Amino acid sequence: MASYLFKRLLTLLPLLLGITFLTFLIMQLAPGKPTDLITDLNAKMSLEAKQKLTKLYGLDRPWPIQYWEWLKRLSKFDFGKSFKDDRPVIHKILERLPATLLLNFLSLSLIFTLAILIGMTAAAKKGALFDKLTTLFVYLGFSIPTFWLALLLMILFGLKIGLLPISGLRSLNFEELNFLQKAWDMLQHLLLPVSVMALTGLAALARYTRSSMLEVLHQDYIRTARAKGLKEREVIFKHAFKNALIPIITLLGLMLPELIGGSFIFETIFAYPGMGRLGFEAIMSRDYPVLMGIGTMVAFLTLLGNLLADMLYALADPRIRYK
Amino acid sequence: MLKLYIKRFIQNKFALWGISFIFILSSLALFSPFIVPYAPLEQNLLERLQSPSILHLLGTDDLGRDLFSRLIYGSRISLTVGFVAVSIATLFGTFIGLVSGYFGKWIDSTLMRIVDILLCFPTFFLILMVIAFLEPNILNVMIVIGFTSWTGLARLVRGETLSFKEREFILAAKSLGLSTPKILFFHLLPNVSAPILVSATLGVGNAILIESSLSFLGLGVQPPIPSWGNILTTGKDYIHFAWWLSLFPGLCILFTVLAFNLLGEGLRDILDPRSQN
Amino acid sequence: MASNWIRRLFIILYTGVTFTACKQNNNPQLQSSSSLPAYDDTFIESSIGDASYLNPVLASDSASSSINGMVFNGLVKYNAQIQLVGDLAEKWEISKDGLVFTFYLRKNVKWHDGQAFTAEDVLYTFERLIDPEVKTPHSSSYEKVKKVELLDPYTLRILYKEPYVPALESWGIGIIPKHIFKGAKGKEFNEHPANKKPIGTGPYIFKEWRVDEKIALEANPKYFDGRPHIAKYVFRIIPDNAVEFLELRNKSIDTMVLTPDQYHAYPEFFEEYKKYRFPRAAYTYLGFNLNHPIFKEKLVRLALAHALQKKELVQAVLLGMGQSATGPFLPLSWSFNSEVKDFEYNPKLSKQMLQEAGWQDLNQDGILEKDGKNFEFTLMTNQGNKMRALTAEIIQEQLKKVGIKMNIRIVEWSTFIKNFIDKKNFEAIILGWALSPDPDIYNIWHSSQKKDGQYNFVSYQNLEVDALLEEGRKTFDQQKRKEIYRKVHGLVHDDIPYIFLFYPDFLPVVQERFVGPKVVALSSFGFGWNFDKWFVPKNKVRYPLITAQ
Repeated sequence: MASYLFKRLLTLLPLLLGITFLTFLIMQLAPGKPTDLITDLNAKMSLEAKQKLTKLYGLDRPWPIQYWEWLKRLSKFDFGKSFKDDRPVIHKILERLPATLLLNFLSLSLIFTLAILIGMTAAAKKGALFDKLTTLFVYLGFSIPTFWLALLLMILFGLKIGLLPISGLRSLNFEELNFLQKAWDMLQHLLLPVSVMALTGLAALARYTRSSMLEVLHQDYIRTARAKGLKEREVIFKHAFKNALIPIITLLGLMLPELIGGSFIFETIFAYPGMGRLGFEAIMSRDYPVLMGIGTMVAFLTLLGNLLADMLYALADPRIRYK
Repeated sequence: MLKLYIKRFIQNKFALWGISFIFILSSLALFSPFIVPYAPLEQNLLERLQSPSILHLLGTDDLGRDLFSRLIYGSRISLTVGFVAVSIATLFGTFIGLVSGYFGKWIDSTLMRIVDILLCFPTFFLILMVIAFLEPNILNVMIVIGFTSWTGLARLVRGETLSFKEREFILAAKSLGLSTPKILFFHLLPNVSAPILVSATLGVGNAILIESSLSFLGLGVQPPIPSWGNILTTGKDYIHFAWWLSLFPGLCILFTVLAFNLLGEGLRDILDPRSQN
Repeated sequence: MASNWIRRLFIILYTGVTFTACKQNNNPQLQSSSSLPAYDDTFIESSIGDASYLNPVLASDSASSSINGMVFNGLVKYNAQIQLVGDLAEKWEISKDGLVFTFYLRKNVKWHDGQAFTAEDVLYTFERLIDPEVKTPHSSSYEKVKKVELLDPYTLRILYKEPYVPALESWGIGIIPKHIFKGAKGKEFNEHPANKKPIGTGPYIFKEWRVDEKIALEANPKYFDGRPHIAKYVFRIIPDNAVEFLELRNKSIDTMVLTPDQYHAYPEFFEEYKKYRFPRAAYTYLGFNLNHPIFKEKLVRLALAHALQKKELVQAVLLGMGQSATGPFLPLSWSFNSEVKDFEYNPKLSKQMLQEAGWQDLNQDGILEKDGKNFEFTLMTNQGNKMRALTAEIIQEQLKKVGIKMNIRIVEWSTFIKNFIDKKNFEAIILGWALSPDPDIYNIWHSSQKKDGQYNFVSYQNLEVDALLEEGRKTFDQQKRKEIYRKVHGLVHDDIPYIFLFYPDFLPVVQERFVGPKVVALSSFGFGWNFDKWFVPKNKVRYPLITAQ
């Protein structure tokens, strides 16, 4: 197991390298320079002052050199400094990472639970009304533009009913609350974003669970179990579920980057202080070190997620041996 | 065989519903110049933000343009974005998948490493970055969505190809001395076309959704060209006092994407050789 | 501060919300005892973007400037009538030739950590502004300084290489504490932790910054200009305008700058809010590339000026909440020349002029031609500014009526600047300039400013204007300066390098419990100019402090 893990970790390296290289390449497409946002159309700034800034940012060198420099620094876990405010990129990311992970973890858990419940029940009752309704429901969730749904729910629950806060992660008096109140406060703020994220991300997993469950239900051992006279519920939850779980776990790993990528929209509309917004602002202001940092971080998280999925896979299926 | 598929199709309510909706929508888009009561770009500043009425079925927008006409024209734009993006992704993904699966060895491992790298990237992040850096316009939106959403299909086609390439009919074709492209496109491709068709159908809906998300961030199809995404984004800013401006484009996107998904899902069932009856 | 103003004003069109606290000595009127001003309550503002540096030397974005304006003071500031008065400086003298400035500083000023403020701090601030390693966007305002001399801890003398009138305004920049930075230079200064935890002299003390969530400030009880009444100030970051408005309707923010549509929305949306409306110091324009073969010809530009109906633009884009423009100055300012007559809307005359210039619709397709080529051009503007996109769409329709085909291209800001503006790679553009209180517009209109990346990107050249602009920067006599800039106004208007479109109005709302918001001349440059004098009557406090008061 340990040697397998080590091997897997080794294969992560070229992937990470490839991802950073790709990010860097894409950034070379960009005509804008990060000094734009500070300097442009600011009539009080002279040309010389602008060139000075470009030089300070080290943007006058050819890009392969810039990439090499970046890699050298990365080997020391130094992601460089943000062009926007000169703060270390790693700090900027770490500040926002917990909020993003929290949102994604909660949504993913909710998606996982709901998808399995819906998928399994739908498979067991294939063709029945429940199957059809849930099919429609999960696809409705998938098909609705997220920011529109978010805004509608904010108006409904925030403004009209007044039950939930509209945006943000914490109330303004957060510091004055005790631990329980703090948790309650954050929970209230998280309810809408997590629900919207779960609802819109449910389809793939729910449908996948259903189809892999159907496949399992056709297998011989299930027929045997049924023939033995086991109760249907027992057949499904005890025997079929475990085997259907395996492909679901793999898909979960693949969903990670999509979820984190989707954060751009959620964080912007919910004024949620996470990594997606940092990334979007970095794109718009050409903050290369931050972009590289986020690219690397997200890729790393995804690879880690895949690794984790593989290991869960092994736990769920004892037939898989590590070579 | 075909008869069986048609029979299954008619039995599948969702697929039937999806295809009918798409058919009607495509006709509307195709014949939009004959349907719309107003030119989609025609402004009438005296009639801005009118609520739905007999004159303006779905009301007017912030420049007094008829929302109904804009949505009908927008269906052209949004469907085009969907179809073009999917065509690119399908062509590219199928090609890579076929080549990778058929030739194997280093070609396969190189291509699949690239796919692995792309799969670790949040697609939306990639799209945003490239579009922001190039220039947001309809052409770039289509191309970039297309070139970032082929990876899943490539993997799928590769897997299918692998399972077919040692089969008798391929080996026979080889021994007959058929050229590689011929084997790839005339013998392998038809056998992997079912999953490609399903993935393409689902892809159209997805591309329409991605365009609307891009529009929300200001990087989608740019006005005055009406896409559902940018009409909805404009509507979002008026959601407090002109509900129709976001409701109708929102529903357009919702139903269209839903239709493509239900159709795709239906096709999967219908074309699946394992599914009974 | 003044310099911050200007910086902020250039970005104001994109971000919307700006409040600063400029100080003024007008005591709030006192009423009955229950409505006595409380030293209590919280003011909650929102912004689309987060701040970058809480350091006035480094910051240039509007969010940072809003906070810096409350935490720091400059040597001078503008008063309600837009005249420069002392802030950290008690008084100053300017030599006759305009080359020597002497500032006498206030002696009772303390930094928020209790240390005394002295001339050393001013010198340190200046040194960082001209430090080549410091990433300041403000350095060009100080390039003409020859030397800064300290005469004693509270007196300093600034020597200039040549007379430069906007120099005084430039000393409005926030002064930073030398002792906190421990004399840091260059890179060390750029990355100093104090850029995130500022210590200033201003009416508000920095308390907390939660990235992408909020920045919180607290009243400075020892503020030299009097303790501010509002005990806390919270700057919330809400990136989406529709959500921001939702928060306003939910009464969870105390202020917001409205769009014209929001201003006209149902009155019940504004229960408990007071709406304001006054001119904003900015204008939107349509600029021509004067090197373009079509637009080189003045007659064509004139024809276009007659083809645009500014009234309709103001009505449609701003719902009438604005004013059509005739030149590069604000109507309220002393540099504005009210004798300049706007071009009359007259499509007939326009067509006639175009015909004179050789443009005719011979093939009857609705588009004019000359030498077999259609009159077709592309108007560009930046993505993310709805007002400009709307303006473009309306102009497109207006020009269609005189037979001109105009295409619209909307490009993301950074690309727009780099690829199109800087390289003069455009035919026509819609953009805006924010105005600063000083009328010096040398960088925009002087013919020496046409290099790539400079601001005369339309390539305007008029030797008479050049001479006037040079003179304007050197003339300290206000009356003479007034004449100079009024002439500039007339000349620039007549040459039509831009079609000056309109001045949008500023439309803030403030929760009604706040007493003190006042619309004066300075408000055009920032509504919260007297924020440190605002208060909430005791019986109306909404967020009482929990700690004993």
